[in-house]
Amino acid sequence: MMRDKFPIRIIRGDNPKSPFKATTVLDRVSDECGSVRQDLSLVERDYTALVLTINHFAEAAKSDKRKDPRLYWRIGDEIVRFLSRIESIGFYLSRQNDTLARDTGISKSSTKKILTFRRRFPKVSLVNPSIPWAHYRANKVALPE
Amino acid sequence: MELAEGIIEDSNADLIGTLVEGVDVMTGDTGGEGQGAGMEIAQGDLEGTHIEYNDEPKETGRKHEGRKKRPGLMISFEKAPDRQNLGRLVDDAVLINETHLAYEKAKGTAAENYHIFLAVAWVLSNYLEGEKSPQMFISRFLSNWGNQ
Repeated sequence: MMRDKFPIRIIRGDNPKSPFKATTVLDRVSDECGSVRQDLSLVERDYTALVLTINHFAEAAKSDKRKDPRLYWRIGDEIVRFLSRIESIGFYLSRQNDTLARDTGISKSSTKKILTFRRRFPKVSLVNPSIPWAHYRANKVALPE
Repeated sequence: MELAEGIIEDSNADLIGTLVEGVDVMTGDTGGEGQGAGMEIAQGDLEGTHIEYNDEPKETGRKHEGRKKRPGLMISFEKAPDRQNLGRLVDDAVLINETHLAYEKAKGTAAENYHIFLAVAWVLSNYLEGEKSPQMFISRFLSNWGNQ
């Protein structure tokens, strides 16, 4: 039987060195699946790295007049891989799009569109850099045969 | 628990509805076979959005039926050597002080979970209304845990 997944909610901490705090439900403590403290610490470090990486790509996307869709694919890929990693240790990110929007500055609707785009195009090689991001964002580009 | 219907976001499913503000937690899990820890997909008053059926759908997803479930108490950990207490409440989360000497002793042992529950009970006991006894609250809280 597959294990139940528990919600992770990211709150903003008051320590500048570790700005994000991963919280989960108390029920998780009773679950027989390892140390909740170690798992939350891992998620905090992973999420902090994710936000830094997204900020890096978002800055590059901002300064790229062509709006290369591959930059948005990379952002989506980072998020998808993070979600997959926390899923593998029995969690899911609660209020996913709201949380990511709050911490990355990318709006909730853009975050959602980036994720839909990334899931439709499983490989970056399927993305045509000559097609503007706006077309991919509007879901107007078909998956290559 | 009140019956609830929600839509699980799924990019591989058909268009089904539109995003609406306000969300609540309902039973279920996107991957497990059990009740799960809950999903924020039902209509409600919490911050966030959920998908609702709409004749002009823009979001993809699949229907899910269950019961409304209040979100459980959230916990996390912090290193706070300047504070001598067991933990503190921040928003809706109890942050357990990892540098408390008792926690350091319990860490990695069978007593660690007991310490977590004790610390949570102790923090919450500071927020009891009226004349309620903190000692009785802590005792009942730990009894409930012991009964699980």
